[in-house]
Amino acid sequence: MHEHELEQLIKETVAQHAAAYQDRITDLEYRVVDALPDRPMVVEQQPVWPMRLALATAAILLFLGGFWLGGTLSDGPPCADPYVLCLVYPNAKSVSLVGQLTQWERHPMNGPDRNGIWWIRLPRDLEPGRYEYGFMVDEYHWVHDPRAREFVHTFDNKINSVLIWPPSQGDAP
Amino acid sequence: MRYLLMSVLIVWFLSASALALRTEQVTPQDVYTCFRTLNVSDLQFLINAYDKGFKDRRITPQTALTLCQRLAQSAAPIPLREGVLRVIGLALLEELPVTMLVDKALEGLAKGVALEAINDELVQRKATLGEVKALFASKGIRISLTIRFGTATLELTLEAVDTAITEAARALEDYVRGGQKLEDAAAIKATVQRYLSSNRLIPATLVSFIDQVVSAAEWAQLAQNVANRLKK
Repeated sequence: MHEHELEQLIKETVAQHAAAYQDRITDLEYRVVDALPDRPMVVEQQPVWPMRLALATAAILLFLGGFWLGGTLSDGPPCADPYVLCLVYPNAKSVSLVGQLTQWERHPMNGPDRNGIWWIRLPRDLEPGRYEYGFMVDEYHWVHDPRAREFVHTFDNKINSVLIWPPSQGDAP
Repeated sequence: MRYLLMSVLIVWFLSASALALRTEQVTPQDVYTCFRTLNVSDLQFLINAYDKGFKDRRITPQTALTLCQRLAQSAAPIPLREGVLRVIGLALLEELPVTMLVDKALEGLAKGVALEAINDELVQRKATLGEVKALFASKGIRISLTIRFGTATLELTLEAVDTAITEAARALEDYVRGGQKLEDAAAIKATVQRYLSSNRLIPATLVSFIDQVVSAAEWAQLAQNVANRLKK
């Protein structure tokens, strides 16, 4: 038998078998799918809370960073505010406000900032009047406020600054 | 029933709050207890003097206790600590305002000034207060006086008179200690008037009245007296 005859024989045989099983082959893929048991569709979900946590953390960090950046880039303490007393003393380890405003108790001041400025905010409900005060630097060193409008000589030969409240326009506090 | 229970609870809460506030208030007894802890030699004098001060409302128990407690923290000998309380006690008996004296004592203690110096300071300033009070009295400026100044009428209170005495004395002390000219009577008077004007407890009518009835020469004389005391 020649090769082409053999090939023809095989094709015919396959065709006969295919015809015999035609009903089984038709729509086979649909039947397979239909035969599968019903299952809920499972979608792979990413957990939500880590994302929210990450967003919240980022927001907090941005907020705090803004504060830090603002503080770093700003011009320092609000010394132009009449409710704030300031003293430039870069080498001090501590500075306190002492005076009639504090019943002569030491009230620690904030600072120093990068320019060596110490500051403290006065109470918003400060009564009008004259208040003698000064700054106690490093626990024992009495320093007057060079920005004060008035000064008085006190009994221990040191100078008290005088805060006149409310300040006139254009006055330093 | 529920409303009744809530009402009882609210009343209980308010009563407890009021009691708590009351117990936090400093009493004269607290002050005298502090005096005792200082082991002062003449406790009865201090009690009598400060009791009068409390009754006259020239000093509060809170202020007196603060002063006593600060003195208790001082390492100075007891007689010196008692001396501070005594000068202020004498001022209270003489019906002088003591705000400036207490203030100066607290200032000295805060700065670590020697108690001898604080006592000297208080004695000098007490004398100035006495002179200002006498000057005012000679002009009829005293408690319950009704001032008719222009169209304004004002009945003077203890607070107004005491504050005026204090501010005038403070002005004289500051003027002299600042090394300013004693012969410049106008400047002395202007300084006193400025101090009086800057204290909101002194009515403007009283400030104007003082300006009218007390001459520059009279203020200059008191300033000279301050200077004389400081030289001693």
